[in-house]
Amino acid sequence: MKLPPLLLAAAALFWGWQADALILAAPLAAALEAQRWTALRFAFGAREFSRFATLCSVGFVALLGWLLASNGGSFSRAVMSAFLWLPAVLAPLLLAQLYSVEGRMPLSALFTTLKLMKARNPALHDPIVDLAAPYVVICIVAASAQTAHRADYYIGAVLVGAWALYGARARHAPLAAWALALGIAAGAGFGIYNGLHLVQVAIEEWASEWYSGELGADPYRSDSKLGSVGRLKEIGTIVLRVYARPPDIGRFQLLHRASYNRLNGDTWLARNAPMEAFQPELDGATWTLAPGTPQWSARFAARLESGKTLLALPAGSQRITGAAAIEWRRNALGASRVEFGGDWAHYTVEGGRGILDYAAPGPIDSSIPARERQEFERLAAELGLAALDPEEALRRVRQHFATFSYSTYREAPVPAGSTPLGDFVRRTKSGHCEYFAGATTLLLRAAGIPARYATGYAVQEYSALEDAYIARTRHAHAWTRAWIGGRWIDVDTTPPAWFDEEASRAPFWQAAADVLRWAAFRWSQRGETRLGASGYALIALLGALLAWRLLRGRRAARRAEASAAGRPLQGADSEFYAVERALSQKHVPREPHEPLAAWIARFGGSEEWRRRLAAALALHYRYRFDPAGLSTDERKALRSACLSIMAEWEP
Amino acid sequence: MQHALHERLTGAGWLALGAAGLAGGLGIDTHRSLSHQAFGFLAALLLVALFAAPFFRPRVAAKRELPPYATAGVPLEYRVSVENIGPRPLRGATLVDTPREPRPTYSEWKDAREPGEERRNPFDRAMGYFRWRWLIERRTPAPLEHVALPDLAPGERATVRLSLTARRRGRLEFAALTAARTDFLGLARGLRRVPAEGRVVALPRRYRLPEIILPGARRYQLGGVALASSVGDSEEFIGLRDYRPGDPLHRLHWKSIARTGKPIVKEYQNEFFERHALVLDTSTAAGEDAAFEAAVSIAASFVYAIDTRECLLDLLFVGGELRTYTAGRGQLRVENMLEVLAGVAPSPRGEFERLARAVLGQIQRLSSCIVVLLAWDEARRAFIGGLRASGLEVRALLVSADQKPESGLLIVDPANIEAGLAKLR
Repeated sequence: MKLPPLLLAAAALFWGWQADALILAAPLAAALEAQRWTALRFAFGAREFSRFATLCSVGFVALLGWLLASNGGSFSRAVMSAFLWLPAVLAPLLLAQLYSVEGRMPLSALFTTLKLMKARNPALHDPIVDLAAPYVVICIVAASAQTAHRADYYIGAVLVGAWALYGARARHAPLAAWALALGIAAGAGFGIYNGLHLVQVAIEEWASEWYSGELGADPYRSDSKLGSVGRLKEIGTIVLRVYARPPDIGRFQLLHRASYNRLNGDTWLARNAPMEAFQPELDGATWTLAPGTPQWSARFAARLESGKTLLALPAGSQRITGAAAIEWRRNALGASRVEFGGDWAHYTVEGGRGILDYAAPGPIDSSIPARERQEFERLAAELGLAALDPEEALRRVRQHFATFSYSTYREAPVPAGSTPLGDFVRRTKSGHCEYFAGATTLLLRAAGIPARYATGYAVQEYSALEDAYIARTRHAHAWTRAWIGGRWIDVDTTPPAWFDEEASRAPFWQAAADVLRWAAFRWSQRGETRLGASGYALIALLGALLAWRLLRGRRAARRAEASAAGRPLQGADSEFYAVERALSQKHVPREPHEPLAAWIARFGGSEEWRRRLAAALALHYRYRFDPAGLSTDERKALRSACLSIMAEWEP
Repeated sequence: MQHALHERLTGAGWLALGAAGLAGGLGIDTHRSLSHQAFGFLAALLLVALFAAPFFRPRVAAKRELPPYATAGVPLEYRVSVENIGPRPLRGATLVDTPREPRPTYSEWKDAREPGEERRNPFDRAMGYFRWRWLIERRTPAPLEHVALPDLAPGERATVRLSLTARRRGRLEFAALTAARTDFLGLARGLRRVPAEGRVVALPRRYRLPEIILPGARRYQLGGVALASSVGDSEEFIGLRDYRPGDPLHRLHWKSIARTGKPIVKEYQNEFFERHALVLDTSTAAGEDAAFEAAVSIAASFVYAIDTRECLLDLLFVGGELRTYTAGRGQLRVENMLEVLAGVAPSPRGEFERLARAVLGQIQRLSSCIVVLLAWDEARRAFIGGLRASGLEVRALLVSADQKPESGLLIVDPANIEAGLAKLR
């Protein structure tokens, strides 16, 4: 299949555009097309192609490894990036083929398995392949392994694809019909991929009720009974470091990660709040959550799980800066699921007052599940909340819960006929933060105040070693957000002693472990391996060395007529040739197969004449074939003999 | 289904299919990449092509002219005449020959044994996939290529040359000729089958033999020339001569005796000519492995090389029962003998004794003997010894990859037959 001209360059440039690697793609495209106009060719055999193939596969594995290391273990993202760079990795192989003498290679050169099989069975079918067409296809498909060019990928792919298909089109196809078929396919493709996208979104919505993410970091579910938050109380790992000035720390006591609005059995869910993609500002590192002028800022360092985290944000956050996130998805309930890559994410939060970037209350924020309704409405009636205005009601609720005690998390059985929250409120009056938060939310709802259940971290611990406020895993916390006076406020009814009580349960080695954690954090912040200018120079040097080794001695000699004239013929300037030409013209032409002596014998003429010719011929033969050649006198004699013959010849 | 797709997709179509698979794999999560767009486009292209392909089926009539014989491994060219019977001009169509359905029946598959099967791992042996493929490959030639047809106006005829290469000896059967035309995009073909039966016998592969001189000891052949060209008992009458004691009495020429009073007998020309035996040992436990095929090829090379205009060549082997075929001087021709060899199958072990006895019984008629053996054991050694002891010139060849050299025995490695045969004297 002959490729249309400039298709390779177009495919390479398309890939470069989509992968934001035009700097690399432009010279590649030039090199790919230049082979049409230069005669530079190398004599590559199957072994050399094998070496190039090995080089490319080693390069691919190395690229994959490097991407895995720099992406912090996110395997799928590393694989995707590796595929995105596949055309660059395969370029040496294709260039080798284009600049080789044959222009194609046997398939066994690419796959050692095939080579081994062929060694055992020489009759094996080993086709000769041309890699140019597969390379074009790889460029088109690899260029799609990114999400930055959502708007313009399809058009580009269709255009490059049409160019490629033009070469493959059937000879008997009128151009208009071909274009029509292509147009139908492009339109159908548009419909197909949009349909696929919609199907996926629908599946995600449907599966959200069953989707389970990391511990406590899932914005779709928080299990109150088994206590995904409660379970975390055992773990002392530092998950958040807040670099803020002490006066500001009051703001950061509660860092919000996710909110939920519906209690289903023992599980809080976030309904009617799908996750949507969020785009940064133009510099790619600033994300505006809510409008407004920031009045404070603080720097955070959050620990990532598989490169992702649910961002912990203080109330009033308006803008995040310095966040080099790969992907950011957030919902209307203030949960932001961000993928950074790596182990730690650094971001600076700027904000103002009040809870911003949070959806206004809806009917779901006032609904109480059926099995809790009786208990909480009774309690609300007992406290007389309906008659009070919202602030008063809130105060009354706080007072009521202030009489409760905090108990650290433990799985306790619930008496039959009662729910955990109902039992907490009615009987035990003691529990950990999730109970307090859940009960407060339901009680406020029973009082007619819209409320939501919020989870996040409580920041109270200052670490002198780090010179920052730290939040550990065990500082995961749950509280309520209530809509009072036309705005949302945080309501935390858990007895404040909870913090110290949990801290007292820390193991004795915690101080030593903290030192190690600090050291590990500093080590992980040493910065990525940046390939500076010297690194690139080294790579270029190695590449040049490799190229020199591979190409040394492979350059095919130019096919020139002069190759035949490499070694000059001995005696080519003998004058006898002139004699032969003259006599052939005027007298008897020499047959191509006839030796000179036989030709002369055919002449007529006098005895004397023939003798002279024979003498000249003898000298001529010696001049041509005798390794010793002629002496100077003999050479002159030959010359004069030939000239005299030519002068004196008469027919 | 894979076969149907294989027939219908062009090279570009396969490329598009592979790319669609790759894009589909990369683009499963539509949030992470745009590969679902590439997948959509490629899938749409393939669907449009596959849907439109049946509308492009060419209407042709075709007739095939196949020669009766081919040789394994050697390309055979033959002609097919094609006529456009559709109402519109035909452009861009191709033609390919379609062998008969090669898939083996269950019982065939169960009983067959692929050569070298013991080298495959137990799973493969149990599943028998490779055995199945081997059985198919035996009956089909090397993959056939599409040949482009010239542009045909309605009703116009043309002749194209097709080429086929048989992979091994045996019989190849063709069921139909398939005409194809791609759709506009060039990704899929519309096919039309034109039934056309045909059959070719693929003769065994032959190798070059060095110049061998078969001994010219002409032995008396009972039956004379007439046996060579027909069945019957006659001798050529030369003349009359005096009676010598020992002449059979029925040869007395009574009329001359009456005239001269002396005993006169009729003299007949007895035919003496050479008869050589080519003994092919087919009893092996390994089935049709490389050694067996090499032995058959060597026998075929001998049949081809020995000039049977002046001698007779007997081919003896065991195929179910002892079979003897004679070539030369009006008996079987070389092609027929090669056709016999094309169909030789291995026989169970233990049949060699029958072969040995038959040959030893005919020693008197033979001038020389060429024996191709598959194994070397006591029985065979005794056989060769017996042949040599009777004064016969014996050339013994052993086809085996691992056998220590032995005097009087030429060892031929199945992997390198030409080199082994070159040492023949």
